[in-house]
Amino acid sequence: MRALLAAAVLIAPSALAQVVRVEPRVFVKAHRVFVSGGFTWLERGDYYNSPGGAFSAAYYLGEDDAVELRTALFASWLGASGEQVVRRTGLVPDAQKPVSLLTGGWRHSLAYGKVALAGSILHFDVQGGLDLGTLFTDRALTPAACGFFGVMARLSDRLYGQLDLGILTSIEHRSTSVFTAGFLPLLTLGARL
Amino acid sequence: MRAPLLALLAAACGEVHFVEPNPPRLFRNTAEFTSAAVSEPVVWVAVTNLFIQDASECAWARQTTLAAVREAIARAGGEQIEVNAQDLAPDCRRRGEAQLDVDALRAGFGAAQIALPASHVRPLIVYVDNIDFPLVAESASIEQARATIVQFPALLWTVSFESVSAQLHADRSVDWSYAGDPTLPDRIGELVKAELPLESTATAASGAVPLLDGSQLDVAREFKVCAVPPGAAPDSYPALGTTHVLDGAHPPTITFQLPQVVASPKSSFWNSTFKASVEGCTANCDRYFIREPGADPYRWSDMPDCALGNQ
Repeated sequence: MRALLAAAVLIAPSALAQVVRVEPRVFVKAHRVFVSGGFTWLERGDYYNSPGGAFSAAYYLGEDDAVELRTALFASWLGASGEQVVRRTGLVPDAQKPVSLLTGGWRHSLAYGKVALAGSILHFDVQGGLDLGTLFTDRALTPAACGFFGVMARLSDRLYGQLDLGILTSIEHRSTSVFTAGFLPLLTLGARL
Repeated sequence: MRAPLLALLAAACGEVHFVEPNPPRLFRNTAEFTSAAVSEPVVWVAVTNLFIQDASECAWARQTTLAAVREAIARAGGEQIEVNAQDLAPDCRRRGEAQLDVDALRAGFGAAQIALPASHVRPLIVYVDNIDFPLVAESASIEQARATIVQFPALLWTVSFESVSAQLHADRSVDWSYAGDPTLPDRIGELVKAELPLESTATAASGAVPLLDGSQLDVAREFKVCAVPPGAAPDSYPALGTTHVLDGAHPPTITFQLPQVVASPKSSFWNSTFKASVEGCTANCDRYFIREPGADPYRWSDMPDCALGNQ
């Protein structure tokens, strides 16, 4: 017990001598508009390859919550396996070809962090959210919902990058009405206005 | 646990089926034929066997009763021949005083058949009896008369008590009430209305019945015969389940052999109805038909059966 007290007396002054430094939040979003554009790919097992361009605009109500509008335009074409069936038999998939996506929703920051990366510090938010809207296909306008999880990272004072991994669901009339689900990653670069 | 989860996931992601963008345009038709009936002449005879206590009323009772029967039978309309009536109790004193003259009946009905060579003569015997007691001698002769007169067994109607009509196994019966009953013509008339004239199937076969109607012939390119009834005449229609190219100059037909009903009382006569189903194709006949989402596709023209058959 005596030894323990002696050790505490020796250590305590040096510990008290250290300065605790807390860096202020660098990636500030509250009451600001963020716009971005980039690439996306809709994969839903429908025999179509559906890469596309995505655009979004978000207004942050605070540091953690934002409302956003998002649109995507797809350049869809029938994949090789589907094309082969069409060529051989004339049969076509009953899935509708995705053309564009228009959604609006809510985005929430789950955590803020920073990492040392290639000699610099990268500030980022881990975010999640839910968008509702419509998926336009070559035949119809279908109700759609997209849940996502992703990272929004500060690249410079005004620029930022965003990677969202989403699940896009919709109700589509094929041979019968079906509930569809697809993977929708989005990689965009944007600016704070 | 894993399999249901995977199935649920697959269903949730929405199955994709390959479909035919230009499916065969098909229609279904049912060719129907109902046989017709022809009326046969009414060839009949009245046989009376009346017991009247007051002998002076015998003739009157017989004449009144015969008149009632004649009036009722006349309501059948059409061609009618009445064979001379027979009276088995001329004095109305004792039942069966006279024997039924079966030869005379046979001769009378035979003459009617000769007079009506194109008809099926089935005689009708109207037996009138007013005693509520089983017959002793007349039963056998009446039975003989029914069985042996012409090619068809005669029909027997009785105007009598139940004891007699049951003993004679009458085809139809009217209850006896009393001599001169004014309701008798109407009560017999109800029977006449229900049963006469006797009817026969008009023809032995239907003739050529078109499998496709006029508007369908204009648009159909190919067709298949899906199903025909057992009464279809063999080789009278295109082969079943095979695709046939429609020849507008020779539209497909079918002939039905009709079950023959001859000189049947109206209440037991039936018309036969035959139906044959056909599937026609107006376009894309060589394209795929898919019965339901995910089912195997078959080219309609190669299918061994009709596509719309089970839908």
